[in-house]
Amino acid sequence: MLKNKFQFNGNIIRRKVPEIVISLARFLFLIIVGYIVLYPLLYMLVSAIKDKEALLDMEHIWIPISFSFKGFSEAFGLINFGNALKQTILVQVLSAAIEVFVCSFIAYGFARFKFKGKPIFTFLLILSLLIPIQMYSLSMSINFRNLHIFSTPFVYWLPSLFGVGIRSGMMIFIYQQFFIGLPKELEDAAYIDGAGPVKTYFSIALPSSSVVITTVAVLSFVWHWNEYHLATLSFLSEDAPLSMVMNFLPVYLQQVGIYKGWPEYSTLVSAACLMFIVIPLVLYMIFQRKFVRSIDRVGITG
Amino acid sequence: MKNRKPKGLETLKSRYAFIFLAPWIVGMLFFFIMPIVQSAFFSFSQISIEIEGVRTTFLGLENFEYILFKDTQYIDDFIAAITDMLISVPFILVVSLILAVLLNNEFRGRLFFRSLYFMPVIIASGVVLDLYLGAASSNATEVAVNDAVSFGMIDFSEIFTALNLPTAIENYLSVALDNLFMLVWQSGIQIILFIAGLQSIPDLLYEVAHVEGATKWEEFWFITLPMLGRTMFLVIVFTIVENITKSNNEIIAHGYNFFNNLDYGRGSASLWFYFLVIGIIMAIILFLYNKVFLKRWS
Repeated sequence: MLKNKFQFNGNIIRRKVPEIVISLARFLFLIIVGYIVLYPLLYMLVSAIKDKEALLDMEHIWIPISFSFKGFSEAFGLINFGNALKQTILVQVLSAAIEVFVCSFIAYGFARFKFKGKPIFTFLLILSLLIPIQMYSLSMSINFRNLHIFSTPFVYWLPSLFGVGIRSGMMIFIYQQFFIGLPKELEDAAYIDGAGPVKTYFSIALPSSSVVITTVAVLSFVWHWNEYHLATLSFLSEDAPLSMVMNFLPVYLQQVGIYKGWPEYSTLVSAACLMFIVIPLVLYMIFQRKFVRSIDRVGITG
Repeated sequence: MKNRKPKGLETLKSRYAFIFLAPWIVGMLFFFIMPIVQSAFFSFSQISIEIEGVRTTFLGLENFEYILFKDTQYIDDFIAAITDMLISVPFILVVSLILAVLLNNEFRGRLFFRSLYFMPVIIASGVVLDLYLGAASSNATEVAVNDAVSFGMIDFSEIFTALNLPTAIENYLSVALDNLFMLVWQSGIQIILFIAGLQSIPDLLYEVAHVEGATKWEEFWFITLPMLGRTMFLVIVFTIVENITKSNNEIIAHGYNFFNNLDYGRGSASLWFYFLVIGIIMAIILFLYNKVFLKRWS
């Protein structure tokens, strides 16, 4: 229909040419921004494999004249990579898994039911989105001491279990938006068949939310992996997860006599950074297709 | 009977809600409300952590007086932090909205670009970014980084002068471009949220606009933007929160300096004062957004 109209008016050329120009411009823009996104990563990679000579060579910035992987092995020992990684997985990744599950449960309550004081609870939810953890992480850490869970995984697990972990407010919000958009009919059918709300949630709402779970799981994993404020205030350095070790990296480097501004500093920092991001990055490469698709279907209603 | 039954079901349903909310309410009480009240109390006190526990002495407003009038660095840091917020938040919003609209279109390689642009979400944690920037600017290759930021060949300041832009805008753009990497790297989540929002706009609206002969430009202003209302709200809030909590934020660094010297009272006071001011700014922005923007479009 539409095509016929354009042909009739003889407008086909006037319509087609700008289209090509626009798509070229879009491509160019995307490439430029893509370069900006990738640049720091490439830079890190190059600095990490440069040896001393190459670092001082100003003429070859991108292709080093000589390289070595010594930076990685030194950084590996310096940040005690094995132990820190074990802590990260035990403490933070597990906490992320708990959060993904618990937040869905809570969000279902927010999305599906009318109840007394709903505006107040919603206000509290928004407040928990707004107030940064830096504001109260110190008192959290003191409370952890009082509860005798200081420097144990429970520092992360316990808040996650109650749906108030790392950025849980955000997760609840995303889940809530999804559940609001989910058709109610199936759940109503389950109620008529005599299922209780919890059973309905587990047998219908949860299984149909795999899309949003992907999005939330990726975000929760990443934010837990990178979280270091709470960690720094609640863990002893021998139990430190990776993010906390990274936070103290300049201090560790000073202890072995490498100061900011030295060539070795940039090599070791780049190597450590790469080791820190390699696991999330590889996981992202594996799951990116699913993740990118899932975003389309989460649906934040306008 | 007919009237009473739905009412009964409603109250039952209202009770059901608390099955789901119970853990969260307990958690909020112990891990959110209590720590916040406590930290507010800290800002009025002197804290010392000893082996047998925490000892607090009430000081009144002394901590606030100290940071505002005696600490010469605080006000400078405060202004720097606010300036940074005013520059980066609008920039991030615009960039991520443009990218989200572009990535929402159908074109070849869309999946590739999408995964590429979300990558910063995976790796752009404060730690890595800080360390990276620290390492990059401290070695001999600093020149190379700066060259890359301005793409080596284009001198943006000359372009601005040639365009005869007002000084304020020129300054704004040059600061924004200086921090281009940081700003683009901070736009990942915003792009995700915007795409999620864009996807929930019904195609029907665009079809109608197309039949009516609207241009893409008009479609953007009269359909896309108004329909993104709630997403925009979320993104604004999220961007501001990200900005004020990143570890290289001047005030956060200032407060943590106090914490590192075990001066928890003054540290809490400097954070509290900052977040209160931000809270007020945010309330004004959101109020205006609700009143002016949403009303105008609906």
